[in-house]
Order: sequence, then C-alpha cells, then structure tokens
Amino acid sequence: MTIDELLELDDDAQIEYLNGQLDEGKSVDEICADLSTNRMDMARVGFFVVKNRFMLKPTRGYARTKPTKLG
Amino acid sequence: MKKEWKRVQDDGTTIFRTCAWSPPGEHPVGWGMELTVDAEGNLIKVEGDKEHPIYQGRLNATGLDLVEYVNHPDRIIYPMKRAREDRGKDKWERITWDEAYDIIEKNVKEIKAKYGARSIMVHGGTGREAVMYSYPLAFSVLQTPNYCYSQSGWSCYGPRTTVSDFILGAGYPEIDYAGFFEQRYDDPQYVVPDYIVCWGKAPLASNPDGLHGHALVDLMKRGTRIICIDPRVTWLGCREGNWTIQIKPQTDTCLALGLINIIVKEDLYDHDFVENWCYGFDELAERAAEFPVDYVSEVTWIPEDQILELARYLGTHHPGAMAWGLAIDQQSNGIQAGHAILALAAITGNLDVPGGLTVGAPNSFMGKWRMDSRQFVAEEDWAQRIGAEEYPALAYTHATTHPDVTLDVLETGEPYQIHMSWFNSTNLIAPTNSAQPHRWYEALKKVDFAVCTDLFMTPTAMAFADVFLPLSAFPEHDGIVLPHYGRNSVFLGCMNKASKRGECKSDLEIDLELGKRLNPEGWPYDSVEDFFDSLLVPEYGFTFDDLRQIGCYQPSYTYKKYEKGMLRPDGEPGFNTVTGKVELYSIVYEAWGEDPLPYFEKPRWDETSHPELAEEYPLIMTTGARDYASFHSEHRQLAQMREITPWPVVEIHSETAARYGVEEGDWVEIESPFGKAREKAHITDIIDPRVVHTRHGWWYPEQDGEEPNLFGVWKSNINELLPHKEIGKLGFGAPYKGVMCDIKKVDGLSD
Repeated sequence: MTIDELLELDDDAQIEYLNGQLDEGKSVDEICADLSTNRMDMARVGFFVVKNRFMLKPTRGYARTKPTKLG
Repeated sequence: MKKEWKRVQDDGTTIFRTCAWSPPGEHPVGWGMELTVDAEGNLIKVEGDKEHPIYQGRLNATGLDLVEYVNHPDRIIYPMKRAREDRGKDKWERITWDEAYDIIEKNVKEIKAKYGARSIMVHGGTGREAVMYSYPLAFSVLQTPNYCYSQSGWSCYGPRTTVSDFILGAGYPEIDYAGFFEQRYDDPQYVVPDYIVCWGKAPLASNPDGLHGHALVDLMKRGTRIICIDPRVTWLGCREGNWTIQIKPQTDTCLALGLINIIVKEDLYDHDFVENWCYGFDELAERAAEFPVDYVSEVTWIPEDQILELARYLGTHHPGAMAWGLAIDQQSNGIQAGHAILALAAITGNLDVPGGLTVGAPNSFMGKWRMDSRQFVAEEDWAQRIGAEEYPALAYTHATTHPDVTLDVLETGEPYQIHMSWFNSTNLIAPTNSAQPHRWYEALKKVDFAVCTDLFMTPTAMAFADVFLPLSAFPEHDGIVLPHYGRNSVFLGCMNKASKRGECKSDLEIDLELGKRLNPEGWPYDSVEDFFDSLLVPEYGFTFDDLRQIGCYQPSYTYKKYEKGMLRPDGEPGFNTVTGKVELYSIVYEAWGEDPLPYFEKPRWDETSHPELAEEYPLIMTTGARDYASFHSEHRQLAQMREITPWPVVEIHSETAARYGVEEGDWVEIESPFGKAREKAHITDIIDPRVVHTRHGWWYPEQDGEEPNLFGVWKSNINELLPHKEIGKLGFGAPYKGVMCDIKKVDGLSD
C-alpha cells in the first residue's frame, strides 16, 4: 500500500492498518518505508506516534488539497 | 432584533440595520449600526444600533467616522489601468470592469501557460473582510498555491491559532464575555469571571479579531478584576482594583513558566482537570521548575513579590480568563509563549468553563469553505507552495506560503520566479505587515503583471499595480460577519447593502465574476445571496434572507464539551488533539522536531543577546499596538481621524527624554541595527525608561504619491527597523515588539 492509497481509507481504517502493522512486529520506520514515505511526511498528513502506537490528529491540516474533514 | 432591517422614512431617507465588518479596515467585530441613506443612495448618517445584543449602540471612533470615509473625494470608484512602464507614476486611465477583467484574464492565462499557476502570488492583508475571500481568489479563481500574508513569522494571530490547534485541537480560545447568549451576562449558565488577564493586549483600542473590547469594561462593572501584563501602563490596568504588571518586551514565556512553577509547587492547580484532561503535566512541572522566581524577576524586570502575588492570585481565584494578545505572536519565542499561557489556563481549570476561555472549532463554516477552496489547485502545484517544505508545521495549520521564505523567493527567483502579483486589500510596503518593507518593494517591482484591489490609492498600489479594482465599503455590499473568521464564532451578523458609490464591488463579487471566467467549476453560484445560502442552509438551516431578518444570530454555547464528546469528530470525550487531551507536552511539536515543552529563548535583539551593541542601541523598541483613530495603515486620509492622531508618536519616558534632550512634540529618529524611521515624541511615564513605544502603519496621503516619495511611505516606516527571518523553529513569531534601538532628536519628518 502507498501513503496515497492509505489516505483513501476512512480514518479508523487508516489507524487500524498502521497499528496492525506494528502488531505484526514492524517498526515505525519500516512501515513508513513500506508506504514510500517517512515520519515527517506522515506527520504532515496527521499521523503521529505516541508510545509506539500510531495516533491521528483529527483535524488533518493543509498538507494536501483534499478538503479538511471536520466531523 | 425587533426592528425591520430596512425602514423607509417619511423624509425619503432609508435606515438600514447592519453588522459592520470592512472596508474600512476592521477585524470581524460586527458592530451593530443603523445606516441612513438618502433618496440617491448616499450614506448620510451612522448610529449605533441599540438592539444589537453585543454592542447595544456603542461604536468605535473609526465607525463613527464612516460617513467621511465612504464619501471621501479621494476614493477610487472606477476600475483603472496603467502601462507597466508607468508604475510609480500617476498615469491612470479609467476603464470598465469588463475591460479590467479582460486584461486580467489574458495575463493570467499567458502567465499560467508560460510559467505555471504557481508563478502567481496573491498578497493579503490583515483583518478586513478580504481575509475570507482572498484565499479563494488564489485557490479557486487563479488556482495558484501561493497566498501570502507577508508578516515575518506570520506573527499576527498565526502563532496563537497554531498553538490552539496543536495544544487544544481548537480554534481561537476567547475570553467568555457571554456573547453567545441572548441574555448575555444574565444568562443562568454564565458566571462572571473573577479575573481577566490582558496579556500583551489592548482590546479597548483594537477590538481584536471580533472581541468587543468594551466587554471588559462591562465585566469590570460586574466585579471582574483586569490584570494587564504589558510594557506600558494602560487605561485598563490602572483602574481601581485592576492590576498592572509591567514586563520587559519579549519575556512573556519566562513569566508564564515562572507562574506555572509557583502554582505547581504551592499545589494551587486544578487536580481534577489535570489528571483527567491534560497530557504531560509532570514533564511541564519539571520544565517550569527551571524558572525560579528570582530568575524570572531578573529576566522580566517584574519584582519578585509581584510575580508571587500574581501566581497565587491565579491559583486561588476561579473562573478566570487569559486574553492573550498580539504581543504573544510578535516574538521569535511566540509559539512557546502561547503554549505556556494556554498551559496556565488549563492547569488552573479555566478551559471551556463559564467565565473562562471558550473553545471553538478549529475551523468552521465560512472558515472551512475558504481553506477548502484549495481543492481547485493542482496537487503538484500545492506541493510546491512556497515554504511548505521548510516549515511543515506552518504549512499544516496555514494554507499560505511562509512569509519570510516568500521574500527570499521573490528576491532570488529560486526555486521558481513569481511573475504576477495580486495585492488584495494589502498595503504591504506601509509599515504594518512585512518586516524590511524596502526589500519587499525592490523584489516586487520585478513581476510582469500586478493587480491591486483597494478603496484609495496607496503606496503599494502606486508602486506596483497595472490594474486597480475599486472595492466597495461594507455599507455598499451584502455580507456576513463572524468573529474570529469562523474559529470561534460568538455570533453571525448580517451585513446589508445600503448605499452605493461609483462602480465599486466587494471582494466576493470580484471572486464570483472573475471566478466564472477563469474557473467556472469553482464558482457555480448565481449571486452573492446564492453563495451565502449554499453555506448557511446546510450548517444552520436558514438562508441569507432569513439572516437579514434575524440581524444577529447567537448560536448559544455548551460548556465542558470535552466531557460530552462535542469537541472531537469521533464523538469521544476529550479534546481534538492526538492524545485527546490538552497537550501540555506536545506530540505535534515533537514530530516537527521542536521541543515538546514550552521553553524560554531570550530576546533575539536586546542587550542580553547582543551585549556588543548595547552601548550603540541602549533602548528597546516595541511597536504594533493599535490606536483608536486608525486600522493599521488605513484612515490616514480622514480629517477627523487625523485630528485625533495627526502624526505617528513615539512614547518615551521622561527620564529617557531628558537624557536625550527630547521634548514633547519633537521629531525623533528611531534607529535599530536594521533601519530607521521618524516619529514625534510623546513624553510619558506609562512606559519603562528602557523602552520606547512606536506607532506603525504610517504614510502620508497628503504628500506626493509618485515615486520616489510614494506618499512619504519610507519616512515613518517603523518596520524598516525590524529584522527579516528572525523567526521561531516552527516558522512562527518575529520580534516586532522588541528590537534594540537608539533615538535622536531631528528637525522634522524629512531632512
């Protein structure tokens, strides 16, 4: 999966996928590499790592042109 | 509101109710006004609307001078063009709107075809209604990724809203002045705050971002104590029962951390809120412990006993609110200052409680729409937005370029050149916005094509524009005013078109008409009213016409939303942050490579950071505070406003003035390591002897407008004294309010 494909999923599915990868034993950096991205670019689209779990900033910011999801 | 919005009188005049925004320059304050218009459509009288729930008939000075502004003979009321080689000369030719749009359309298409959409830059100013419509002008009319607010470090509102988003997941936290409620202070849910801290803020003069400054006076009458932390003694700070804490400019973070340290050590914090709703309290306490009171006193110039008394007061009184001001933004350490002040509000249990700080959505209603218009920019262009790579945190919270990087790009042409500029309600070479305005001036002269929208000829328009589009003042167009631009909308006010001058159009009308030519998909609306209906109906269930009848819509407010799952899109309790808590330790800062805790960085340009320059520049200059008779660089043409404030004034303590041989009314040259400017001396002991306070936004419409004079814009250009790119690690904050300087008496405004 690429980061663009990941972002097409809904928010819960994005986090589920990422933490599922951690549960399988991959490191954060390995997961980023698999997605053809890096930690900084993950942060740009709202993914942050807290105590080795991916967490999502609900308001995703303006890194992309896709309209902001506000719930 | 009971009265009809439009009432025809027996004498042939008509009275229109409206909620004011701009132009003339003003933040989205929404003053309630009654505008009287004669049978020919001329504005002849302005009064405060006593029915308005917030303002109750009160108006500010510039509002009371609206008739002079609207009918001023210098207003430009028809579109104009000028040959490129005549830039800087008063060689304008009147044209029709169609001709103006034809010229713009042709140039935009040619420039896009040759250099790409990214080579177009829209420059926006501050505060005016244009703030809502200049983003979509860039993104969904011109389809460029580059919208620039040129203030170094985005240091007005930007740092505070960013801190709010990162730490609270919220829009702008505003003091609770019961604006949400029809019964105002008498609403049973509301509690009058014990105190309001005016931290680097002068709300009576500025009514900033939609806060009605006079609400503080209302609250004083109900028993609220106002605590002013400011380098100057203010009117509010010296009323009986209020409090003045006179601080050294640029040391706010140190004070805030020192206060947190005392409150934690003396166990005065709100344990319930900290334990349940804060993330990183222990780490914050450890950081704050590095700020003992003796050190804080030495850095901030505030006596130790005052610091202790203030901390104990904040820790033992509840509720209270922090009215944090522009001074927080205008320092390189601004992000940390804002972080520490919000942390102080959090640990004292004053977030989202009656009489505390209200917490709004990060971005809502029209605020959401204007940023979402970026979907009409090509993704590959968006990725090349200027400064986005270097300053990702700024690019995350602001759909703009990075201002300082923008100047670098304009000067060097790297990584790409800008070929077209659109100056949308910004007079950016006047000393309000950009630092080092002369550098911006030189860099911007190079562009191939430039458009300016404004109401008067300004130095910026005279210097650069090839096409001038005349804007309507707010009494001349329909609109909606919303405090905090949608980030904490206390109310929605309806702006009703009442009068007419020439062929002026509003920002929205220009967006709509030009949008239909250049990107019709982005502009499917039939009219201004249709546009507003499309935003209002899904959100509120009423139309623009309904809002006309309502006048001022107050949405009410639910306190402690974090307990009720009302702050997060997933409906879970908590705050709209990564951890779901108030992030005293910021996960987001950490990810951007910044210290996750607030820290104090000494001022970049003072005697502590540059002792080698202390003898040459022994004073500290602060600037940027608003006065009653202008809005930044606006209102300088108005006789009534110039009667109140005829000249720019530098405030100097009497001891300092005596040392320099300066007397009241003398012209003084203020010089920093970066530049100089002239203002008239006002000798006053409200300012510390080590500090001088200067006025910004000055130019002289009565002087020769052609180059090189440009209405005298370089004579009192106080922003020439400010450095370029002295910004914080995340790209925010610049030292507008604290640069070392010296003064000397001179013979006049010019040599």
